[in-house]
Amino acid sequence: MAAPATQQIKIRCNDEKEFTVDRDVLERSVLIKNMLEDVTEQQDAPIPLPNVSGPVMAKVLEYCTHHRGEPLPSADTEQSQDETRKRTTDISEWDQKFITVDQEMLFEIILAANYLDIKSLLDVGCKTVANMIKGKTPEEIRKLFNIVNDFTPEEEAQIKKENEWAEDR
Amino acid sequence: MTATVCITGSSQFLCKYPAYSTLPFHLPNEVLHHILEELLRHELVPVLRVNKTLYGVATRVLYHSIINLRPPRSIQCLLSMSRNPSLPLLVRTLEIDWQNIVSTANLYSLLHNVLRQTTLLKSLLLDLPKTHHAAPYWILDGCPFSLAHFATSLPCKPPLARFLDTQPEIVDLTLRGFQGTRPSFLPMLDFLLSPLDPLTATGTSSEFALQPNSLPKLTQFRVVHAGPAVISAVVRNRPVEVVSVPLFADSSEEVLDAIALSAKPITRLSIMSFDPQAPEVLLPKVVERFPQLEALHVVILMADYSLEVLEASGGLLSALKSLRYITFMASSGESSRQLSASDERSIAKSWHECCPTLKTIILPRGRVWFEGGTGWDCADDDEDEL
Repeated sequence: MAAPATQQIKIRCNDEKEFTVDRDVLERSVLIKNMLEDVTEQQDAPIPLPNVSGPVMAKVLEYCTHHRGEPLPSADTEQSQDETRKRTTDISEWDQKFITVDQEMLFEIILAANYLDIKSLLDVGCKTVANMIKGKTPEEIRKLFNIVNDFTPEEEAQIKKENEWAEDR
Repeated sequence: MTATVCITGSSQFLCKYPAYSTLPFHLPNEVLHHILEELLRHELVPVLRVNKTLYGVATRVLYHSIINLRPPRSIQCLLSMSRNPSLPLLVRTLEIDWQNIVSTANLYSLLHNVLRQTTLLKSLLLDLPKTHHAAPYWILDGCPFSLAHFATSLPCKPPLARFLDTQPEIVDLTLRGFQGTRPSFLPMLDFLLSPLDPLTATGTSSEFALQPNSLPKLTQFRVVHAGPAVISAVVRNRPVEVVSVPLFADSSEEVLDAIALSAKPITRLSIMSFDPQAPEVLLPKVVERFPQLEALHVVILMADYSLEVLEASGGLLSALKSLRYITFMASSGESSRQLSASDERSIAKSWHECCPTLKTIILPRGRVWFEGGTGWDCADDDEDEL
């Protein structure tokens, strides 16, 4: 007996780029999953995603397709992670290769994961940025992200003094 | 491109300098927060000095949980918070581990000053130095917070009970202090006990009394030194489901009776037994009082369990219809034969036959036994030994 056909869903990005994607892949996004649950009848009109561009959505879909079928985090697991303030910067080999993109794309993926509510992708993006920050001086972090220092030297010295207690490894 | 920065309730510093984004990327605060949460405490320090936007977010992350600090750093942190009143507002978890320092009134005043500003504190650990003077209960006076988790080494005396009466949101309570009278059990175990505060020695345990409507949400309760009177005062008619207690020869039955006063069935019970009679009496007493246990963790320190006693214990477990996890750490004695891995497999198998709901069993060798595809197995099986 043939397997039941997977429902295909259309989405439209802010640059009018459209994708037709298997429903279970799209449902990695809690935002889209909730949208689809609210729709009772089959709709042909694409779901508009005004905060995501085509190239970024293509990357997001690559991630969702690779991770399709994996269990989604439940409210319980999210809560327990919050409680333990889990700080692991381990990223799987595939995810690491996937997220090796230029800085602009990295931040666009993080923003898209946040908007679409794809927690595991948001985690991968945030851990990647955290790994870039680790071990760097303030000046090196500014240089890395092209950030302007808006502190006076006195203000910076005051902050250093106020937080000396946290410097121990 | 500007990132939105919320500075409400943030540091005094940022209030002086309205924040604006100088970041080249437009990440909302909650995402920046998520990124910085991935960093360890010392890795956050350079981020604080990058610019005002990152300072605002990094400060929130840094001061959210102040834990695992050695006393000098802990005192330094309290000084910073006392000088900048916006910082205590960021703290949700605070651990003060000053067990091994010599305290002064000034130090307690500093702590009191900061505690009175930690309006949103949810979790507090207070391990204070042993003292021959009055315990400093006054550091809890006038604190505005409503805790969910509280652990303290303060002696279980009336001032502590009065503080607990003001904390209706506590779900998790750990009392590490002695109750009014020093336990009379096993003087040879003095090395396990803290020197007794003379003030607590003069009191009686009955003085530790809570208001009937206090701690209405308490579900988890741990004691380290207190006996049945304190346990009874805390557990009676409260929805406690998870308990951890020591059991001593002269009071083990009373302690178990006190735990059974909970308004809800006990589902998780951890016991550290100093009772030489434990092999004969412990499990029957536990099984009789707590038939709805899901997890039972027992460490036996003053008695030996032979292979035969352990095997015979399986029959008792048949009364625990919901038991899923059991840990049973006990010596098998110098004179008798030490348990081998195959002995433990045999015990695990027979216990599971008596109690089919069991998922994991930890026996004296410390191995975790579980039912795998080929029967009862353990994670670090050494096939040669088996």
